[in-house]
Amino acid sequence: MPAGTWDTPCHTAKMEIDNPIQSSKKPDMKSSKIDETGYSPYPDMNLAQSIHRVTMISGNQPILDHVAASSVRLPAEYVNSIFLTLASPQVENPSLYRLLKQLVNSSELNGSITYLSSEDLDTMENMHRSKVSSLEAKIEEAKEKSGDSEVLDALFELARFAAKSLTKAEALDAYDRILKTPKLSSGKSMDALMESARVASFYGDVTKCEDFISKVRIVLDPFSSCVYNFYSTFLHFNNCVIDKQNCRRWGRLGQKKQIESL
Amino acid sequence: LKVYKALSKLQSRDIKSAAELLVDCIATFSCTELCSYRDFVIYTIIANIIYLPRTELKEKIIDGSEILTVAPDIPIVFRLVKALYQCDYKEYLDALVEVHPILIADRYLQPHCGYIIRELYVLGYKQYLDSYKSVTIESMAKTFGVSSEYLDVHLSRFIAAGRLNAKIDKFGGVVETNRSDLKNSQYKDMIHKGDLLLNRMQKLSRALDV
Repeated sequence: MPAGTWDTPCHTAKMEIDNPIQSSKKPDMKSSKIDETGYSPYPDMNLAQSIHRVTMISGNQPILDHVAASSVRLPAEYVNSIFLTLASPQVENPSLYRLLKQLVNSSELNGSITYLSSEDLDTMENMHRSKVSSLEAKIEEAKEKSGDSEVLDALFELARFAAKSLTKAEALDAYDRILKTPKLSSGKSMDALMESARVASFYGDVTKCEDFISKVRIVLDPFSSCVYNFYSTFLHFNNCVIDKQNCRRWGRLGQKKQIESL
Repeated sequence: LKVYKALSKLQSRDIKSAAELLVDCIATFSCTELCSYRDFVIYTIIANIIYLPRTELKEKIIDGSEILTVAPDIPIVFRLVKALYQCDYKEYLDALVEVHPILIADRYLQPHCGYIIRELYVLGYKQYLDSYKSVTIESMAKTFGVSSEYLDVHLSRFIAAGRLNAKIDKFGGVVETNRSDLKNSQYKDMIHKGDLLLNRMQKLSRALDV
């Protein structure tokens, strides 16, 4: 059998492969996970849409009847599934769970939903409190031992956790802390502002949402004007160089024509 | 940022500005963290159907390649815009009724559902009446697939509110359009503004005399 086939490898010696780096301390990215697009997935705006639909179908003043609900392809068990999602580890938001429980007309659902008890929700809140304190400790540790970027990462982690599982006020406060950080880059402040706008939009606070978006524009505008100025200066410089080259190439006639055209 | 701004405008019922921003973002939409592309296209169609001229509606919405890819997922909304463009008013009103639950089921559109539906009705009636100097209510009702009584009530409400430039001759059962031509409207506008200016000048002269 010729050497080098799959059955008999020509190199009997073991190939040297670098061992994968096993860092003892992996950063905990569970709550500050970023999706493929580079944005934080929290707060989940699809969930806001679903909550709105639930209030439209089974709220205290339902607007959509079940026939109309089926015409927009809402499954029959929609309300139940939203409550399950709110209690699931992906969201775990007890305040939102309580709010939705108040908004939904339970009598109409004929006991088809098994709600989490208030003890369960309290337990969830206690868990969140301990998580928040651990994140706060992480921020303090980063302040003492690491640099600005590590502090910022820890702050973002806390804010994203708050956007996912805590109340609107807590989430906005957490983002506000980021915005008050000294030496914050325009990119990071835009991230924080846009995520704040999403939090405000999630809870239907139109005024605050507009306010955050206008702040993004303020952050963005000096930057874009700076880039524009740089680009236009570069273009002007480039045109001057080209003009000089053309003048040399065309001689006096070309130069005269160019002056006339100007 | 444009999508963020557009949705914020949509929430505050500045639909015209939202429409412009939304149509700009169709090709480059990447804000999936804010809404799905399907929802985004629904917002774009609904906002633009009200404000975009008919020729641009065809170019940007009905024939837009990005919208055509999503069209099978949103058959009712697409049927609405197509029916309006093709002047199939019966189909248009049918689609309008079916669009209503879609608007209510959406958190951005639900607060403005009444406004949007009203504007869409006005748009349909206006487009139809633009082609006629006078038309019988019966014929118009037949075209829209509704009863004459319903149409009479509906039209009279819009005419009274100044949304339609027409009047109903109830005795003859005819709707007469009275399109004010550009020159006349400009003349009226100038007289109105002139009146205001004179009033202000008089007030100012009185203040100076004192």
